[in-house]
Amino acid sequence: MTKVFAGMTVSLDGFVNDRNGSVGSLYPDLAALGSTEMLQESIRRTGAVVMGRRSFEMANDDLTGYEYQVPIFVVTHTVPDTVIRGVNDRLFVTFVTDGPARAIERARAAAREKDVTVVGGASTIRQLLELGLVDELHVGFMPILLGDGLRFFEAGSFGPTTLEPLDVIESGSRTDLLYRVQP
Amino acid sequence: MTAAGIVLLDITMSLDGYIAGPDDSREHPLGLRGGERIHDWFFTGDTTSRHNDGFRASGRSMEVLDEFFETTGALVVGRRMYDFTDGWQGSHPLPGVPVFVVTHAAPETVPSGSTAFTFVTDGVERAVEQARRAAGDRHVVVNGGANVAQQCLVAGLLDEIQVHVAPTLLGDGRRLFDRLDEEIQLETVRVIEAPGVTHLRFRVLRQVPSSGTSSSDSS
Repeated sequence: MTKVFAGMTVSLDGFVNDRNGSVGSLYPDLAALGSTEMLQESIRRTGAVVMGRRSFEMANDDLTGYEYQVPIFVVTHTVPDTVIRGVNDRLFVTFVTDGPARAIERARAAAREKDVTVVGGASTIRQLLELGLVDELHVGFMPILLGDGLRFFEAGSFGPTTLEPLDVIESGSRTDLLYRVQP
Repeated sequence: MTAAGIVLLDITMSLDGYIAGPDDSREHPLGLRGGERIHDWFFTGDTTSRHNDGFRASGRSMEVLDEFFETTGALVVGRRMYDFTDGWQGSHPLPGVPVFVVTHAAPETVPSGSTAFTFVTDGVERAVEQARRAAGDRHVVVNGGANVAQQCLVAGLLDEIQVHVAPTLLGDGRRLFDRLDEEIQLETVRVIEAPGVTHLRFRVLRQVPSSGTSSSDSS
């Protein structure tokens, strides 16, 4: 059955980017991260990806070589007028303007037997958690206190949520905590 | 084994970084709506601690708990924590460990028991300094609350940070980490996976002046 995985990399103090809006300090070694079994496993099981508009914009309209060569569904209010590079017979981008739940629905259909991976951003994942649409949550802690930036977990939007620990994966200095989200 | 005589922030937090749920009070020191369960890892485990039968931990959490009992030489806490626990009725669970309470004014009465309390009214630096002397070659542990933890962090007093991550999203409450003027680089020292909690330990790397204008800054 298709599962929805949501994951982000955060500083120990819970920021997904720094005071300049940059994620560089959270990814000191992208090449090493790319070759981890953890990411390879994620790529293997992913049939479709969901992301927020800001996450999509970080690619600067070029998805050439994106690790997830699968249908991409972008949650957005408006459809940008743009040409996206890197599109092929496996990877194409659909802009979903009727909400994150609809994006998940479409991603599930596109993923068929495989899973849906939500790669961010923080706001998109929070909305999906509130809607009860996330099956597993992966939080990758990096050994840094950013002290400012965009918080993964903003206060107040959802009530207490019990998580079931599934695994802890160490990849160099990074520690990933994997949880099943209890209904 | 980490070096003796360090200053360690040691505290439990939810995955979303809260050390207590909303509406924490004397009646509900860990707050409400899930906050009360984040300390389950050392209260409701399957094995009783040989140091104190009020604590029960499971799996490798017992190692972590044992370490807390065996390596803590002095505690630094905030006034709120002292008040919420009623000064542990005069006897903190760590026998013989002095407790330094950071506060604006010492309380009028202190419950009598086995713990030596010192109320430090002139700031966290002084509290940690006194705690260091009292701790000897064991660790100074900053055990809460968020306010004291943040002050110690900003003052550059912490050598290591250990957080016990409880498997819950509280959504609101008392945040452990507040905003900082500068980033602080850490180094992952140890990760211990245990039933219902993950123990993460980090070394605090000394901040380097970002503009490089003051090479004489030795902190």
